[in-house]
Amino acid sequence: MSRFVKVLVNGEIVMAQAGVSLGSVLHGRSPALRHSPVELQPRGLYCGMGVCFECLVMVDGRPERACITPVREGMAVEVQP
Amino acid sequence: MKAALLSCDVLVVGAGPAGLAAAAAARECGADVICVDLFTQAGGQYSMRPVVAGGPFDHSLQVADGRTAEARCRELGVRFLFDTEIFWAEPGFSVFARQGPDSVTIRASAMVVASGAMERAIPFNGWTLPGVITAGAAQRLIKANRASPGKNVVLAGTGPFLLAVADTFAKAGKHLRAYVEMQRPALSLFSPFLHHPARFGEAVGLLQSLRRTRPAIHMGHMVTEALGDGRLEAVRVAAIGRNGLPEKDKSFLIENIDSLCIGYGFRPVIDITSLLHAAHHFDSSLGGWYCAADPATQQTDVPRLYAAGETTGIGGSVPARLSGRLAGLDAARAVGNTVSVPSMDGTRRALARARDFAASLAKLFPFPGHLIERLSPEEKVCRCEDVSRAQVEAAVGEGAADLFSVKMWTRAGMGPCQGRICGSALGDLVAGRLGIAAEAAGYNRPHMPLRPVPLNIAEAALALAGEPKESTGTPA
Repeated sequence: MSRFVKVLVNGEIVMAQAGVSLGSVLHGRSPALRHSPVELQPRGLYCGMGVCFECLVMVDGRPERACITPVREGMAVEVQP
Repeated sequence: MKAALLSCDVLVVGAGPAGLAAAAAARECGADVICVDLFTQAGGQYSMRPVVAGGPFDHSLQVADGRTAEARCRELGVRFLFDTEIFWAEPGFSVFARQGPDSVTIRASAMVVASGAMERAIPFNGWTLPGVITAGAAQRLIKANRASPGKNVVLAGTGPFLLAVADTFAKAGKHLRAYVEMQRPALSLFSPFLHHPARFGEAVGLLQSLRRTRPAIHMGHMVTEALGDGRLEAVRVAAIGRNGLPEKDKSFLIENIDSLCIGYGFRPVIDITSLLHAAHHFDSSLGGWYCAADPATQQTDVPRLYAAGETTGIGGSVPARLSGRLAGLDAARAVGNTVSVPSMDGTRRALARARDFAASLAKLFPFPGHLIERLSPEEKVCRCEDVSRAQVEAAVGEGAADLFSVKMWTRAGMGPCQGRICGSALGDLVAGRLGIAAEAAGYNRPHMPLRPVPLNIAEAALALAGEPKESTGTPA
């Protein structure tokens, strides 16, 4: 049996299987994760392997690539929808 | 935060097929080996091991390969550092990295760089819309995370890897709305198997998998545009004409989709080998810029710096394993171990043969770099810094003649990805504009830091550069 953890996404509780990437959880919820820095265009998961930085979200107050960050119980995530 | 200083005979960068083979080979000869990888598990993008057990990929060939190779390394006593990302390296060798929330500095007498490959992207109109992901990202979502790219998915691009991704969808019981491949079906697609019949069964299996995903199959077509308001909703697909470009009057929309997974092939990851001043060459059929290595030993032109696997040109897991083994054995020899393996000629012949098969496949699915010519002037080439095609061309018009000067002019390639995503397309764009060969446009030179790293971690890692002995501590 896989274990589930609770992740807070913009204050909303999201259940996720322990160990999966935060990127996979956020992408399934809504593909738009952030705005580009110059023109504020919507962006989301793209390369999925830590190279492109398009899935950069705030995790417990620090910028992290969601695609290579495993979910943890109680993780507080801020996305720019 | 902790700061560790480690030392070893041979440092292997990357725990994919090439890195694991190199680590095991060097350790077998008695070398003290450390192997680092960005991910939390060994196996690389090839194995893509599931992080949640109980799915259809737990016992796949690729996952089993990764597990076996890692177990062999552990049995031999290879030291693994996962969640470890190198942000700088110096000749001789000192390597500076973030390991989880900590810093690590590693000194090594020899290095094997098996840093693998990444997607070789071609920007197209709408490619930055959320919902447009690389073919590799789709595979990682499904295989590693048991997630899904979307409910209505189009898989597009060119090359045998697309079939591997379709196979992933099939094994996970998922359907595809459409499969869009640039090449037309032709008997010539079977030619590589005349000389490599052992690989034929693999190809047939992949085609059967594709059928199981029940897609509309559009061969000789390509996705010309992704459309949607804030996220992907549709794609435009066009037939490819005799000139190799899409025909506008032969296009149609695929609507009500939420995911486009697109892949045109891969390019070698060369940031560490170029940082350490190894020679690099350009060959489009090998993925563009690759690190040059002696095929007999995998040593680069920098003494005791080795490169193996995709870093030395895209070829897949078979040449990766073989070149990794050659690199590991020679690295162990170079640092003073006795290599008691009787002869490496068999491995060298097998490597040449595996490279030959990869080259014959690559010839059938040439990289369509010329497609960048179809990008709208206002569409972005560099995603990180929002730099459009028009801005890049304006810079070239004002005198920028290579990737470095385009970066200085426009910031293209200056963002967190450091030109990894846009570099190939920027090269084609600049070369096309100036009428020069793609290699004449150069490649993005590595700068500190290779990858974004928290300042306190960078500071702690670099502070240990001159320390004499291994240590772990909390920096003052």
